[in-house]
Amino acid sequence: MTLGIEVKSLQLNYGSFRAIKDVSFTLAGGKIYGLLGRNGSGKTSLLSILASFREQTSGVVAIGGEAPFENAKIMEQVCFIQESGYMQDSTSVADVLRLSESCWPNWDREYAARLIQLYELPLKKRLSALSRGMKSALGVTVGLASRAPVTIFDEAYLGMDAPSRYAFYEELLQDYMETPRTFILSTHLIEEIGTLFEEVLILDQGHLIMHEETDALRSRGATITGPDEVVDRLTEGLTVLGEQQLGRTKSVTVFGELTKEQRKLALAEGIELGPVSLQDLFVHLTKRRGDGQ
Amino acid sequence: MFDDRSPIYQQIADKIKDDIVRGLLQEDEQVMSTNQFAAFYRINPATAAKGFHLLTEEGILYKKRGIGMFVSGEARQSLIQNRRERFFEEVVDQMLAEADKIGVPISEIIGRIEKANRRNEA
Amino acid sequence: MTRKRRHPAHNVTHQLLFTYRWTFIVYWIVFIAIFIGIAVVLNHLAPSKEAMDSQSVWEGAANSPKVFLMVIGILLTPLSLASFVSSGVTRKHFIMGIGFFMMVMSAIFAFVMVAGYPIEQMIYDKNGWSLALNNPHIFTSSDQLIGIFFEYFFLFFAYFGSGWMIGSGFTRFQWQIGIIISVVALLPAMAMEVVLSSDWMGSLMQSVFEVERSPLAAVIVLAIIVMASIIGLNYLLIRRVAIKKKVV
Repeated sequence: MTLGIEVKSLQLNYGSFRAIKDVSFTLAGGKIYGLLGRNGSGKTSLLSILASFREQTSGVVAIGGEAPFENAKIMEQVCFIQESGYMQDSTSVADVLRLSESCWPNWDREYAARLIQLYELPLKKRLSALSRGMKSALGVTVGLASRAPVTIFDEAYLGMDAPSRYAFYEELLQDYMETPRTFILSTHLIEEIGTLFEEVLILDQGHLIMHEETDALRSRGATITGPDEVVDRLTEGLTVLGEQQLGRTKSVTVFGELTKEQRKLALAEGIELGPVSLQDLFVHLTKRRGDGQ
Repeated sequence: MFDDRSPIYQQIADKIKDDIVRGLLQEDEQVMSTNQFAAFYRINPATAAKGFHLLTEEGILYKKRGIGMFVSGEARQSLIQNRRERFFEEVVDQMLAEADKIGVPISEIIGRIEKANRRNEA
Repeated sequence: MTRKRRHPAHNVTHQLLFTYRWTFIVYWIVFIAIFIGIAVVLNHLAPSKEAMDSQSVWEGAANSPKVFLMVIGILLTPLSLASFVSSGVTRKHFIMGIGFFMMVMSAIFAFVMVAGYPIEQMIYDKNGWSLALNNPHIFTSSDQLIGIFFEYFFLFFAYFGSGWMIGSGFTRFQWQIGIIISVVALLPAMAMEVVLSSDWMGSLMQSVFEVERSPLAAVIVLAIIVMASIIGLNYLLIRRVAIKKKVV
């Protein structure tokens, strides 16, 4: 079963600070979504609202058509995993699994056991005695084994070393293909995990500045490199995300589709057209321009 | 794995086409499923499916309901035909443009090709 | 894939009982061991038999479990709310679950207290001492077991609940307001003593203000109202509280 998520004019204030500013989007569900944003862009705040950890200041959130906050039917279907976790330090790994198993309706015990073995999690150890990587692995185990129709990982895997992270990506994908559900992953390790996202949302200073299919987004960026006057002529009227100049050679990152004529012109003038990686697009789209905007 | 130069689904389509041209995939042979592709390359299955969609639209693959995707009968022929056309446009024309830029005369190029040809025949 | 599941509130109760099982068992073992130890020492060293006469020791012992339950109460919201909400349990079900948990624990603690009185009576009888109760109670002698049970059940619940409110107050507000809440949070415990006309507040009301004890039926109704308001007040405190990122 998959649940759609609808967010309309969402705002969240912490006192006088506005963390989420008029955010609206619709997720059809049953896909892997990437939520990208710099530190402090409002990712965790947004995800906390989806998971009913907080209530929004204003605006509407609907998961499966219902408001999630304090809605038992929805809350038990939304599993939100953060790196630090919310269990007390004095609880043991086994206790965390026990509690999770008792709370999540779709909990898959065999799957949990397999993940515990994969990550070599010590059942008897207390959380305070676990390394950062182990804590992350425990969070990932709970999230995956919860089999919650909406499973959210908020940078939950950052504490793991590269081999464990890749094992997680593989598990996530495998599990997603076997039992499709909605995954939302927030991250800044875009290079590693970007290929898993079907859609990408980018938050910047509390605003949702982008929500696109990953492939479409990737194809919309280009770098144009060549003699500066030609490049300037070519990029007129395009959204310029960034510029670099080396002598008379200029390299401009643009966002948007190049027309056939522009491509022809570029080819004729010996201009180099290059792709832009998701990571680069993200960096350009969320770059501070020094004027606080 | 993926070089980010073109959309991933395009690269997947190209990879399958290449396998067909090289004879690794025969006519009416079943192609790996989108899920297998996704797991192998660690990409979203929807992305892999897009690549497959591209190939069915071009008539290179066909779908058997409930079983999977198969290589069309005339896939290899048409792919080779297509590549031949592109060969002159993309390889020969570009080579000539480059030669022109650095002042290599065409006669020298022809000489080189004939030499290679003789070596191959020997 | 559906498993047989407990109701979420029931599950909260169940998990809390599991979590605190050893805390409670060890507490009673230590408590009773100390109590017996004191009794033995007193038995050997008592300067005169008259000094032991006419005073129930067990009666005074009830103060310890009250304070103990209050301390556990303080821990409930800060230590467990985030665990449950992050496991998909609503705050409302968490509060209901704690309500049941407190009832079960208060009942078990009250049973232990009830069991103590006849044992004490037996010891006193054996030694030929007479046994009297110092404080006012809803029961008048140590053989009114049902009365004893209900008095301790209500008192324990109230102290437990006052502690719970203190913890909830600190979870909801910053420490300055938390401190004010912790003072206010003592009101339910005091109210319960007034309602039952027992213990500190009970003696105060009777000796200073000469308040008459209400009829038993009224006492029970009022006690249940105090219990309900404890759960209600905690609900008001944490029903919309945000689960914050753990600061480690």
